[in-house]
Amino acid sequence: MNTNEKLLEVNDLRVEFRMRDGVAHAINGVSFELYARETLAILGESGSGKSVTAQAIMGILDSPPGFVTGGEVKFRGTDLLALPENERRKVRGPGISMIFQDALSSLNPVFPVGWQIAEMFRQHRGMNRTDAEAKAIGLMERVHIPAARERVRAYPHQFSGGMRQRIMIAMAIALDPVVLIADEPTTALDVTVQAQIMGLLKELQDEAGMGLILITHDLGVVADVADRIAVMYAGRLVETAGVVDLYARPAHPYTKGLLESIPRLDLKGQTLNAIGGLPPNLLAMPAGCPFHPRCRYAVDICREGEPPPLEEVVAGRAAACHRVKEVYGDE
Amino acid sequence: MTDTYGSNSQPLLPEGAIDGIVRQPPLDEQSAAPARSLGADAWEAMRRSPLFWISAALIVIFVLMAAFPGLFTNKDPYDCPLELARDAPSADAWFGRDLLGCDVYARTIYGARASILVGVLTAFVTAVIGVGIGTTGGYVGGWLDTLLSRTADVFFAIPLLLGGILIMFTFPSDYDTPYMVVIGKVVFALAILGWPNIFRLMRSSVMQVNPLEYVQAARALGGSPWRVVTSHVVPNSMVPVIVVSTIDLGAYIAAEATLSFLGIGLRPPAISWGQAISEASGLGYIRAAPHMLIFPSVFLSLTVLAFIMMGEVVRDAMDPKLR
Amino acid sequence: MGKFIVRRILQMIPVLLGATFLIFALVFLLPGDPTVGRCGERPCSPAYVAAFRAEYNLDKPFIVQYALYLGKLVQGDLGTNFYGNSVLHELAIRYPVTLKLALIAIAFEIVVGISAGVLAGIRKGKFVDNLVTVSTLLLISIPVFVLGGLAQMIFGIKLGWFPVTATEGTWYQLLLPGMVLGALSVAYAARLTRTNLVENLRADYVRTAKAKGLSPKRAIGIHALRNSLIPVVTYIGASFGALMGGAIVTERIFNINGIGYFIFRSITQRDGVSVVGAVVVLVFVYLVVNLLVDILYGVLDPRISHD
Repeated sequence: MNTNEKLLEVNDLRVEFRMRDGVAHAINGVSFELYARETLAILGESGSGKSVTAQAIMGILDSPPGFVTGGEVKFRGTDLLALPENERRKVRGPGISMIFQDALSSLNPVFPVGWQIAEMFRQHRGMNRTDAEAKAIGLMERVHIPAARERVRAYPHQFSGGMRQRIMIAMAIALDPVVLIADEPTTALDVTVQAQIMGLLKELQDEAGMGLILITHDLGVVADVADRIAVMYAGRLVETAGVVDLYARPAHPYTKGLLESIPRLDLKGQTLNAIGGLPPNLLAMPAGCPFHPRCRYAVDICREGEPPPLEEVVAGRAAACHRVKEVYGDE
Repeated sequence: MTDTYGSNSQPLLPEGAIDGIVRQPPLDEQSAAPARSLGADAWEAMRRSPLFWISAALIVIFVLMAAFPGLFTNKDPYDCPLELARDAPSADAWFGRDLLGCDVYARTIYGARASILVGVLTAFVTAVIGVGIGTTGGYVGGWLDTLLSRTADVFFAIPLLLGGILIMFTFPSDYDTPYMVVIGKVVFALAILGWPNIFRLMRSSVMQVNPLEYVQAARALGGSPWRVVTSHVVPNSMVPVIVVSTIDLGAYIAAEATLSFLGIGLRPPAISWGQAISEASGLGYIRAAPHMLIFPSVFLSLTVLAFIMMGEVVRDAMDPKLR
Repeated sequence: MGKFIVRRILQMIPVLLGATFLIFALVFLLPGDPTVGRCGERPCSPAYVAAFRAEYNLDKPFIVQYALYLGKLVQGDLGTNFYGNSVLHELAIRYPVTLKLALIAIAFEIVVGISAGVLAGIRKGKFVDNLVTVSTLLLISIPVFVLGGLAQMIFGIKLGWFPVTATEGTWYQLLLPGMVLGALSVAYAARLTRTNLVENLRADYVRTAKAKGLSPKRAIGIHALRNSLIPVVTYIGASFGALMGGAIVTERIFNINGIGYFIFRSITQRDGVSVVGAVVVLVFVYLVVNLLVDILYGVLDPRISHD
C-alpha cells in the first residue's frame, strides 16, 4: 500500500433533512481528502453536521428524512454515491467501516458479542460458523479483551463500557477496512479508558495502514492523535489545517473561539472565553456567514450574500472567512 | 402489557442534524415562536385527526342514547306483539322485530343504557381504586408496596372473562332483581378484576416522580411530601390513567355484553345488546332473521370502537414519540 | 438457567395460591348460601345441600375450608356435579377439542399477526400500515361473540366456505372458529409487532448492522425483528387468558363440544360445581402457560438476569 495513496475524496457533499417543519440543510458543500495512514479529525459541536457527514459517506443515513442532494464520495477513485445500493453495501466492512459513540446501544443486546463479530465473516466471506467464531476470538484478542475465548459467547451487557467499545472496534476492523470512521468513539467513556481506546485505534492504524476519520467535539482528543483537522460549523468546513498549525495559529474566528475556551495551565487565573450564543437553526440559516451572529470579527460583508468559501490561507491550510487576514494575523 | 419492552435503546436520529433543528433552537427563535406546551401540542394534533372527531361524535350520540332514549325513538321497547315476531325491517319497525315481536330499533336504542352505564361505572371504579392504591403503594414503598403489588398480581392473574363468569355465576340475578342492582353486580365483577391495570400504571408514575428534586425538596423542607404527591404527582399522572381507562371502558362494555350473551350478565326484563345478540344467534334465526343479529351487533361494536379509538387518539397525541 | 427456572416457579407459587384463594373466596366464602341456584331452577334438595356442605367442609373455619379445597384441587378432584358426574372426567373427555381450537387460534396469531405487524412496521405511514391500523382497530372493537355470529353468517351460510358448525371437532371444522377466537389477539399481536419494529428500526444496533454491510433483509429480519418479537411472544402467552374466555363464546356459537361449551351449558343448567371446577382449571392452565412464557422470555432476552 502506497503511503500517499488517496483513499477517500469527498467533493461538495450536500445533505438535507426533509422534516415536517421544513428542510434542514445539514451539510452544505463539504469537501476533503483522506490519505493512507492518515488521521483526519472532523471537529465540531453537536448540530454542526459531523456525524451526518460520516453517515453520508457510509451510506447509512436514515432516509427519509435524510437525503444526499449533491456531491461525490470517491473511494479509491469510485464515486460511492453513483453505485447501486447492492454494490455499495459490499464496500461497508471491507472498504469503509465505522464505530459509534455508544457501544452499548450500538451492539445488538440479544446476540453474543462473538456472534456479532463473526457475522462480518459469515456474511461478507461466507465463512462457516466455527471458523468465523475462531476469527472473532482472534479479533477480540487483537483488541486486548482478556479471556476472549471464554467471553466470546457473552452478551454486550456483560461487558464494561471500555470493553464494549473494544468489541465495536474488533467488529469494525474485522475485514481489514481501508478507511475507519470513528464517530465520537470515546465520548461515553471515562478519561483513562478514553486514552486506552485512542491508543488502541492508533496501534491498529499503524499495523494496518488504515485511513482514520475521527469525529469528535473534543479538542483534547484531537491534539494527541490527529494529523489534520477539519473544523465544521453549520454544515460547512470552516477551517482545515495540520494539527500543529491549527493549534498554534487558528485562521477562523470559530476555531479561535474554540481554542480560547479550553482551560490552559499557562493562562491560569484568566477568565475563559466561551463562544457566546448558540449554533444557528438549520431550518432558518442566517444570511451571509452562518457564524456571524457569534463572531467578534463580523463586519457588514459577513451579514449578507453567500457564506464565504473555503480558500487557501497558506500552503496546506484553508479557512472560510472574509476576514481571514485579520484573524490569521491577529495574535 | 406495554411495559414489557422498556429496555430498548433510545430511538436514533442523526445526532447532528436533529440537535440543531429540534432540541436546541436559538433562543431568539424560541421566543419568536408561540410557546407550545405538551397539552396544547396534543390538542393541536387531536384537532386535526378525523378519528378524534368521529369517536367524539359517536360517544356523544351513545351517551345521549343511554341518558335519553326517548330522543331517538318514541316506540316502547316493551310493546311486543307476538304475532309480528321476527318481521323483517319495515317502515313501521326500521330494524325489524325480534323473537317476541318487540321493535328491534327501540330495543337497540334502549340497550345503550346498560352498556354505557356498565362501561362508565366500571372505568370510574377501577380508576378510583387503582389510583388510590397505586399512589399509596408507589409513595409509601417498602413492605406495604410489596403487599399491594403482590395482591394486584393475584387479581391480575385471573382473566377478566373467566373471573367475571365465576362472580356473576355466584351472584345470580333473577327477574325481580332491580335494574341498578344487576348493573352493580356486573360493575363489581369487572372492577374487582380490572383495577390492577390502573394500579400498576399509577404506581410506576408515582415512583418515577418520587425521586425528583421538587418532591425531595418538599420532604427536606419538612413540608408534607404527601401533599406534593397529591397536588403534583396525581394530577400529572391523570392523563395516562384517563387514556387507559377510556380504552378499558370499551373493553368493559364488550365484557358486559359477553356476560349477557352467556346468560349471566343482564337478564330480562333489562334490555342489553349482549342478550339481544344471544337470542338472535340461534342458527335458525341467523338464516331467517339476520336483522335481529346485525343491528345490536353494529351498535355494540360502534360503542366499543368509539371508546377505544378515543383513548388511542388521545394516547398518540400525548406521546410525541409515536408521531 | 436451572436456577432461574426454579426461581420463576417459586415466584409463581404465591400468585397461584392467591388466585385459587381469591376464586375460592368469591365462590364459597362470601355471604349467602352457596347452594342457592346450584340445582337448576329449583331449590336444592336438603340431601344435596347437606352433601354439598360436607364436600366443601362449609362448617369448618374458612382457612381450613380453603386448605381442604386446595388439597382436593391438587389431586385433580374437582367435585361431582348434581348429575353425579365427576367434573374432571367431563373435562378430560372434552379438552382435546378445545386444545385444537386454541392451537389454531395461536397459529393464526403468530402467522397473520406477526406478518401484518412486520409489513406495517417496515412500511410505516404507507397504505399497508394504515390498512393494518384500521383493520386491527375494527377487530379489537368487535366483541368475539359478534364476530363469531357474523363469520358464521357470512362465511358459513352466505358464502359456504366453511362448515357452519363444528360438532365433530375436526381440524377443518375448527378452522373458522379458531380464527374467530384468535381475531382479537391477532390484532394486538400485529400492533405490538409493528410498534416494536418501528422503534427498533431506529435503534443504534440496526444502524450498526447497516454499517456492517449487511443486507436490509438481514438488518431488519434478524437484528430488528429478533428484538421486536420478544414482547410479542410474551403477549401471545398472556393472550391465552382471553382465548380461554373466548373459547366459551366461540364453542357456544359453533356448537363445539369442548370445555368452553361445557361451561356454557353448565351455566344455563346452573350446575355450579361444574362451572367452578372448569373455570378453576382454565385459570390454572393460564397461569402455567404464563409461567412457561416467562421462562421463555428469559431465554429470548439475555438481559434478563439468570442468576
